[in-house]
Amino acid sequence: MDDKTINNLRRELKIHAHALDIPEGAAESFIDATLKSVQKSLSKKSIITKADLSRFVTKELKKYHADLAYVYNNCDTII
Amino acid sequence: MSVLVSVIILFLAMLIQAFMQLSPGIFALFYHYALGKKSRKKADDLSPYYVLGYELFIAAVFFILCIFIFTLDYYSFINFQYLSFALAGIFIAEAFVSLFFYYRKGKTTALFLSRKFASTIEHRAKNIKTKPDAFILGFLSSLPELIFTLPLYLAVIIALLDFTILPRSAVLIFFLLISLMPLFWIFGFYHTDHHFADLLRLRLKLKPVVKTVFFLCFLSLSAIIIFGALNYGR
Repeated sequence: MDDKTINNLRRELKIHAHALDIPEGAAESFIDATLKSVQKSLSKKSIITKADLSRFVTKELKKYHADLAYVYNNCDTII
Repeated sequence: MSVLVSVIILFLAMLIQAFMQLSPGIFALFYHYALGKKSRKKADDLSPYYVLGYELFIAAVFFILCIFIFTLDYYSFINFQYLSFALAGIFIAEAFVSLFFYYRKGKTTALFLSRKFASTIEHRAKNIKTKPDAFILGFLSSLPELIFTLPLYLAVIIALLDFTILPRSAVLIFFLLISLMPLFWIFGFYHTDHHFADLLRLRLKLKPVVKTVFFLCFLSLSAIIIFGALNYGR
């Protein structure tokens, strides 16, 4: 995964975290942990689809904050 | 049309309007991103412009339809009995459409819209920066639902034909206020320690309820319109 994708993902997760009133420090630490873990898991794959990425991020985020994981996974399905 | 029949039509139309999901969904998404990117104060500042755009669109559609229908009525250009039967047919079709095709399948509250349109609206909702942006988003938000709401507004106006100008205006203003209720409800939801995640879960939980309400209300509306047309000529 390239840096641009990671940065976009980090920015998006921070927006959701801020909207969900998650303290900034806590949000940053578990977003970083999630992204590191996702990068590690996906580094072995040659092709990564958007759905793969979304699934891995949701799975990792769930360990830290269920609401954030839920919002990240479902925010594009409201309309 | 008797007053009772008109009142039942108005009540059912208001109920359907209050359960429409597109504009509240867009509003919820817009508010969530405004909260995430800016602050609660900024989100609160932008919200009235969304509401204004949404309300102005409905008012404009009503205004155009009122002029059209009242003119046709004044010059007796139209047989309202036939129009009522046509509307009843449309409502029967909409009852089944809302039951099977209003939402997309699966554990989602995504609506059966063109995906291109939905992603354009989503993109706009996520990137609202100024008040005019919020106003335009509100204005556009009820456009795709016209397939459901346009016949509904027509039925409301026909039900109001026998009323004098004062109750007519009062009912139309009341209808416009009722259409705002879902937006106020979402605004209140965000201000009572609830988040977007709670709202998404609640919308998913209420999905069968919304479909049932639409189905029953559209069918009842159709039945009462047929009753009115057969007994009172419109």
